[in-house]
Amino acid sequence: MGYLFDQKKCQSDLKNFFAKEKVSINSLGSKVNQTFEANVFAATIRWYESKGWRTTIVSPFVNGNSQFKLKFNTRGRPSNYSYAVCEKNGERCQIRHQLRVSTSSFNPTNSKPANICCDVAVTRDVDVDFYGTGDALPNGDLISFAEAKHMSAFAELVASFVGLVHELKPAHLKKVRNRRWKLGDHIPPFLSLSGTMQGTATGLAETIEHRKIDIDIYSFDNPV
Amino acid sequence: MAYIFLAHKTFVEGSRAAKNAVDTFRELGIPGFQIGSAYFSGRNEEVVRGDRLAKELLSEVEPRVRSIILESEKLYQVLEPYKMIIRERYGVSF
Repeated sequence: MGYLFDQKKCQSDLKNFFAKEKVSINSLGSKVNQTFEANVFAATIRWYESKGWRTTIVSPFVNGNSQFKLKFNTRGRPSNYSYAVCEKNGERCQIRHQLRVSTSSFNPTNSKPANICCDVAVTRDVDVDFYGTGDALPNGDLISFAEAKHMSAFAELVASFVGLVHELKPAHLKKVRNRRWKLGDHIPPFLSLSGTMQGTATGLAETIEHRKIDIDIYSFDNPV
Repeated sequence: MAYIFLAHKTFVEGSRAAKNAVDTFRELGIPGFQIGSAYFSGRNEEVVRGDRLAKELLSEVEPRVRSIILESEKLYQVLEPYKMIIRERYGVSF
């Protein structure tokens, strides 16, 4: 008996537990990231509903039946997956999962594509049914986006998200949230974490607030 | 102790994300969603798997350890009372 509990017995019990539950734990572990992504996709739809948008889910037809299908991969044609259409005061937008979007600096005359797959993309109501797996939405059609991370945040992760915003929606990095700023009809780009903000990340979050840039970080303590 | 806390947290967060997702999709008229061969719906085995694992993990540890894990939200909160117990019992200070 060493400390608060019998360490040897506990070690042996835990070994037995992990051996007994290996299949279940592997199953949970292999899907937990995607589950969290699905949750962030759902939370984005919920955000739009809470702002008075009417939302409808559009799903692909498989064997003649509409089948709800999320895109948990960077590969795949967008037309094979479900998305939400939002409508408010005559304006329509779409919320899509894992959509490839060109960066704001990309020029179609470039020799190589420059695009990023957004975990959640809020786009103008444009037709992407003809897109192949490698095709990217023009940046001008991207309204906002979200990055989902099933982890706690450290400074480097927050900085990496700021980099993503710089590539995809750089206007949101300007000093936007001044005294007269009001939340608009669209969700600002956000990073959503299943975990908490570590000390180093909170420091960066504070500088984001001071710079008044138009992005948000949501976490376990502060969900979307 | 830290390992048990982190494993427990991972299991609970897994179920939390699954429950939030299925509940929102249900409100939108979608009964569930598929990840690979796993179908997540309502409170089926896939959705509550993390909660079940968390519960079974805690059943393997002693009651006092269990209560510290359950009362802590962050890792340092697990270690603080544990340090206090060691200090009280063995006079070791950190």
